[in-house]
Amino acid sequence: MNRAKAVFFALAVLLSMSGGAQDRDLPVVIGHAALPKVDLSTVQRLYTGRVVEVSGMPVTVVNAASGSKLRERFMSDVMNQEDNKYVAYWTVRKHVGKGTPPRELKSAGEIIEFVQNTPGAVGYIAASDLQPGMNVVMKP
Amino acid sequence: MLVPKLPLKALVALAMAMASAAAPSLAVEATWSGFGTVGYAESNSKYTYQRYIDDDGTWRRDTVLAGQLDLRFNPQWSATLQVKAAPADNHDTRWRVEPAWAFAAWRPNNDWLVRAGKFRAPMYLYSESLDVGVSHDMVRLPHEVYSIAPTNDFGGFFVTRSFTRGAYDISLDGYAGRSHAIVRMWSRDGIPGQMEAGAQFNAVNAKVAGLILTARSPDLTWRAGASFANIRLADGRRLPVRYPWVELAPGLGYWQVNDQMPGPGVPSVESYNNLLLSAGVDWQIGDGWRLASEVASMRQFKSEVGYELVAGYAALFKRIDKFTPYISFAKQKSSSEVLGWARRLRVPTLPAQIPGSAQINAAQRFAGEFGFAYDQESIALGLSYALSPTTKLKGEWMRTKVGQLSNHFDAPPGKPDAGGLQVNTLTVNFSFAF
Repeated sequence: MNRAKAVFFALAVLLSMSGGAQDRDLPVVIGHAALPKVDLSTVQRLYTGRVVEVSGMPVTVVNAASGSKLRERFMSDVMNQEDNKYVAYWTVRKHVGKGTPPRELKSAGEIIEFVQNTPGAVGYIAASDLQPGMNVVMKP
Repeated sequence: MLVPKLPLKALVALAMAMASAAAPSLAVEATWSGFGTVGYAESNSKYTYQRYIDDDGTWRRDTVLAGQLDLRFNPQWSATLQVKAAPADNHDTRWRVEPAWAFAAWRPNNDWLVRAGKFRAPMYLYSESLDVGVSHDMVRLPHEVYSIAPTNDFGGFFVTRSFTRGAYDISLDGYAGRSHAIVRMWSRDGIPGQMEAGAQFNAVNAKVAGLILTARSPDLTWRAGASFANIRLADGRRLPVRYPWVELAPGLGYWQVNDQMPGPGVPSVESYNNLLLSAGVDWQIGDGWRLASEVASMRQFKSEVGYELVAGYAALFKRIDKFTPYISFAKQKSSSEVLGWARRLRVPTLPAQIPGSAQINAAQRFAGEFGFAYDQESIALGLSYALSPTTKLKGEWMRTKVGQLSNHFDAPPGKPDAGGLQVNTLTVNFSFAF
């Protein structure tokens, strides 16, 4: 019995460790200090330009650079689509006069700086880049 | 219709000024982009289709280049200027560079979007992206439907109310404004001594307004709309309502088609009122299959000889990785009244022995060629290949069959009208955006 418990415990530790490793790359949506928590659907709408404010506050969203690991992960985990389709979506939307795609920033540092210094800003970073005091508005 | 009478350039300038004045102290974020299509089309016929396509081949039908400047003043205010280079609408061999979109936009919250400037009315599912070839899999959107309204670019105001119902994002667009357009018609023979044979370009001014309802879910898009236009010729000439029959002897006479001809006079009006009703659906069926279909009905009031028709198409697509083969069927048919007038005016009614008969017969035919008479259907098989998210290579074979008549075809001198014609068209396009 004790042996079974030990195996079970070891498996649980291994699983939590592997989960933890994955979670380090998990995209976490962060917002400027005053922004409230939002749900997945709202994030999807923000990043497709269908929503431009949250709780009456105008929002400016920023993206990670196209082709980056973080961006790929955000597209699959949050937007539920391939980056190709997302780029194609904005190509059409932009050229029919319905807005411009979110600005792309090169690194987590740039995204954090922009979000912290711009009222209404929303961006995403990997969970491993989270710092104390950041306003996490959504975790997928 | 309460539309301020401002020239389009003034309206655009005013809109841009409003946008820049709204946020004078904020940094402006400017982005440049562009798109284009380079396309070649060739048919197996001497009858020129859609202005340019015949057996000599053409680069003009589908080729278009555009550049766009987007200015973002703050999250609420922005401005867009899109300049397009394409074959001129007032000449068959020239090119023209002009603003396709130029507007200021104010989006105060999630629900409202107010725009002022120059736009394209979203009468059909893909009206706004008509020129953006990379957004479609078809080499060009079905001409039977997308050719109906020549006045869908306008300057004015555009208000969008958006809301969500379940999985659907719903938007109600309302617009009103003014439009200046060129309507091209083709006269096979002209009128000796008066009008040259060939392409004729008439400038028209229109007041336009419309309401469009669009519902979008991840798999399904619906759109239905009503678009109204009050149209008049820019040079002030009146427009015919019908043509009276002038009888010279029992069974012998002519149709009076202008007031220079002897007769009781042609009933006419200063303007026509057109109403276009349209509906469309784009359905991602699943497993890579997609269905798109639209129907449209144009009704012209105050006239028996002008513009009244129904049109529609259905297209089925199957996405296989980067390839998307498709098949489409489209049909367009004018009312029997419009087709009847177009047919009867083209038949000479006076024998050559009567003095002046050549002139009268030619004038009748000329009037008959100026009606919007269409009776045709097309079937197309095509393939689109996505080289990247922003580049596409496409090819299509299309067979178009004309019923009684179709003014989409230019009859060469000495040839009969296009009734009964069957034409195969091959097209290759490369579309891109950046």
